[in-house]
Amino acid sequence: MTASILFLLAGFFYLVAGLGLVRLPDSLARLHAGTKASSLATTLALAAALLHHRDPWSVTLALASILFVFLTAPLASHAIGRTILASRLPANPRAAPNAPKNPHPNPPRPAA
Amino acid sequence: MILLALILILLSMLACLWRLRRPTIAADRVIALDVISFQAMGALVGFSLLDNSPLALEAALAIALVGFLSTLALTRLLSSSPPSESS
Repeated sequence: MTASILFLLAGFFYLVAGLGLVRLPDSLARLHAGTKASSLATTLALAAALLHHRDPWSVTLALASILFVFLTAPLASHAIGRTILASRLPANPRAAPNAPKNPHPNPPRPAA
Repeated sequence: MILLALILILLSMLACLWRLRRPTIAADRVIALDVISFQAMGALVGFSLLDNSPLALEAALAIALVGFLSTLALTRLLSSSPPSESS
């Protein structure tokens, strides 16, 4: 029962991550919503698995996965954030109207 | 209840696929792929809860490894190729 509730919470936070990826206005905000909410949701799902399967191998796997997610998710989101900043485009063009002209313009993809 | 959570994961995966189709800059696709790999981990954990088998947990750990490495590789690819080669 506790495992089911934890897994339902995980599904809710995955939904929060997906909605943030669709609804938020610029890439850094999407990075914020997507990576943090989904790593929390993955941790909740793995905690549900840890409470549901009681054998030592499953507990070891779930703990190792939680540790791996907490080690690597910040590194991956940091790398993506550095890439966004290095593209020298203000993440939201309306946020910095007086910014200097971009030497490497990164035009938005035309609507297909 | 677990099925309801799996349906929520499916809906959020569809949202990420929509963002993968319509990014504003190229890094949006990397973000969407990162989130999709986490959601695949969550779905595999849900399958292991439904089946009472810990086999899918090992697949979830493998997905975590592959997702992290692919995110790092894609960010290296994006930052090593500037949008225009003019300077």
